[in-house]
Amino acid sequence: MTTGEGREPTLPSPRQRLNLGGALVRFGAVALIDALLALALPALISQRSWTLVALVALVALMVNGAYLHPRAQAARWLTPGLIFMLLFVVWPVVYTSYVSLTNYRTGNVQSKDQVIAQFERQSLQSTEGAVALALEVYRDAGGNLAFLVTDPDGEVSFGVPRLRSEAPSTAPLQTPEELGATDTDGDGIPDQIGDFARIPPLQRFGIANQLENLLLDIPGVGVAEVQTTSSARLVAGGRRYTYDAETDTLFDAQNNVTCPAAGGNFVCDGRPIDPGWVSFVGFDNYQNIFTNRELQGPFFKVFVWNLVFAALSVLLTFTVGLALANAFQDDRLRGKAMYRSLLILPYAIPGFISIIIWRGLLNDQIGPVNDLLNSFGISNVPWLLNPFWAKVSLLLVNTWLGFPYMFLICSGALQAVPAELKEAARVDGAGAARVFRTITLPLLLVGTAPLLIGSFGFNFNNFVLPFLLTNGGPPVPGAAVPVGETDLLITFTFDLAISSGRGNQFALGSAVVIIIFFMVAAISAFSFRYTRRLEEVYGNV
Amino acid sequence: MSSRAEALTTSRTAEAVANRMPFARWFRELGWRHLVGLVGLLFALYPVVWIVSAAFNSVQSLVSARLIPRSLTTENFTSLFGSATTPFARWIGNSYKVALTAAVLNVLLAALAAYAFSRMRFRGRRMGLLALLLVQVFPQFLGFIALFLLAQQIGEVFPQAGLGTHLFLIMVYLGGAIGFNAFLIKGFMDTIPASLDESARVDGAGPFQIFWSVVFPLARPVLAVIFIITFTNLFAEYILASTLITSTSNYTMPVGLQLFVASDYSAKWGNLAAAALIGAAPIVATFLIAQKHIIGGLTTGAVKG
Repeated sequence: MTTGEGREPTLPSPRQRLNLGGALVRFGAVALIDALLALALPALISQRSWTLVALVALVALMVNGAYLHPRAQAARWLTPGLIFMLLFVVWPVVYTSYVSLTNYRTGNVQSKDQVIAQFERQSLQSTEGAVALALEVYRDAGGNLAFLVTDPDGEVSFGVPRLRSEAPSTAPLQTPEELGATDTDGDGIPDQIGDFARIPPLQRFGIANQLENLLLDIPGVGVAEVQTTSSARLVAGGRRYTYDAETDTLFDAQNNVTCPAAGGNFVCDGRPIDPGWVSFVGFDNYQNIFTNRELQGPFFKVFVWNLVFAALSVLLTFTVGLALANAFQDDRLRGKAMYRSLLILPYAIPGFISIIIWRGLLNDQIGPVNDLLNSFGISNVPWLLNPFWAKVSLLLVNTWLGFPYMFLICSGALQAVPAELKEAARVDGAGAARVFRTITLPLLLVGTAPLLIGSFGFNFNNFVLPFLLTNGGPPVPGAAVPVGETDLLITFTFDLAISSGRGNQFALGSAVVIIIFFMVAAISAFSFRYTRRLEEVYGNV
Repeated sequence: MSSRAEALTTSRTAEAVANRMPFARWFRELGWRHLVGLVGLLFALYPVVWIVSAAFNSVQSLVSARLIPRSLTTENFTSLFGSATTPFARWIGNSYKVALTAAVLNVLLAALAAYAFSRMRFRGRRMGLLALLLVQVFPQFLGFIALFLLAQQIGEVFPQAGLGTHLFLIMVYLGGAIGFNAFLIKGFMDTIPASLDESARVDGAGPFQIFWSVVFPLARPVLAVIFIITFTNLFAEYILASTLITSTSNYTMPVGLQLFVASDYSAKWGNLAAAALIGAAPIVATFLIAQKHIIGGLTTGAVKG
């Protein structure tokens, strides 16, 4: 890191002429970026995406500071890379920590204001004694729909319906007569009302899905809700929910209960109602992971297996790699280059391809591996299906994927072991095994320790292997969260947050990610210290 | 030339020694090494042989497939293209588009930053270098939840750059390994003599000209290696691609290949193997050709996925 520290500092040289063309390009580029960012702002503000507004402001600040400030020299070189690093590496860490302190999950993704607005748009529904109405549907040239409903007393209302999610309208309706109705076929139902033409019943099936979501507000009477393509029912008008900001409660007129806000939901009669909003819950998620029985069990099960998997992966790949590297430590051996090229093939093939192939090879019924074992008289092994064998499969495939790397670094490190040392030990009467154990192996470990720890860290967060080979399975029966026998923390988190059928537990997943972060940090810190200590011990060899 | 001649002589002596040795001694000194090597080869090549064999086998399932196919066919390759449910050609195109764009820009931006760290002295330089390394200790994919939510939020306002778009994925990849790459490139740039900069400056070149016409060309070997490593990593990246890409036609190859084996029993193994060959061949070829350089880069600490 200190190479070149003694070099002369680069000061703007006085001879440097003012580069007019360069300055123009620079100002032009900054102006263009500023314009683009400014264009984005109104849309972001109208969507209330305050986080994005802040990020846009940060980018603008960095760009303008770096390229307009006359004394900012190094910043001009660093800014482009820094922006992407801040936005897509650093910021996700910050945001993950924030999400882990909230209740962000399916059902709780909006702000509280949005949720209240959504509740206040819902209208009352009477369950009993709803009045049945006859429904006729009309359409104008622009594709807008209109409803004509007739109640049992023959009272007629005509108007343009609204979406369920929209706010109720209180505007008075016009009667068909006022708009001008014509009944050409004389069946008593107008065929044309104003600009709207009647859609015959049979043709309404095509728009049945659309009709379901439409409501017609009849001021002073109620709301007409579509039942079938030719019938509707009249439900009582008016809002179902009213929010009281003073007491922070939602009043449900339908069931006549007051629902206080608690956590991220309004709670009616002890039951939280959906949708809820994103709210700050402090360390609840972490507390849940460590103390909630349903979560604690799966989490620690995954955690222990994660450690075992990473440690055994390093041990197995290192052993196989070292055995091969050691076998090839003889200059008289022919075909070394060919061996080497072929042995690193598993390392050169992209992992996502070879893992899928292994999944086929290890299939218990139709897989070639069992086929091969059968021909030796060994009956089918349930490779990917049984909790124990699935773990064995994972380690087997990981050994295949990783041994070439260890082979390469061990080959290099073995060459660096001084031959005189081995010779001296041999002269002192040590056998080959003893020389290996007391001279070669310790020196080899000094050279490779940082890489071994790096490999441990990599496997600790190995996502692709368990995800593609076993998909974490076989599943642990009866667990409260989706978890499998071969899940590592990272695949467990992925299922929890993104791909589970039980909704997206963003907050809980983020909490696990933060825990993984601390472990990664611990592994790295250990790596730095351990490497330094080893160097001290063997430094004078 | 001389080293080759030497190698020839040593191998001749080795041969001579081998020929003169009694078998027991030959085995004790050299033979067992071949035995270990052969066992290693069997283990390493078993799946590889299967991929090649299954790709040219006319039988789609694994159970009736034999290691040496009875009848060879290219049907598995031709039927890959033109399927609407598994648009393989698109996936390859997507993968190359995303990985190439991101890798080129990534190395370029990293080189710019490396130049500043190598040639300029400014406040916070040492802290900055340390921060680069510290940030890279945490793998980027751990932020997948935050990136997913960010993509969703952007998508609500700008669908062209939000969830499911290649643009967003490219930007994410662009930020990914930049710190580490900048650090490696900086180390190499430090070995380029500053006197070259100085003479260019005397000739009236500005900092950017010095970078572009002196330092950048000289750093090309290390840039090429870092580019190849970055590209192959991004080409095979799975977790972010599967989180941030939502439609089949936008899938990259790693995500798309999954569809071939959605169910193990009805899986199209022949197609999968053919796809695997097409996908892996360029990467493997690059790896074998640039073996020495890539391995040098990897064993100094870059991790391949």
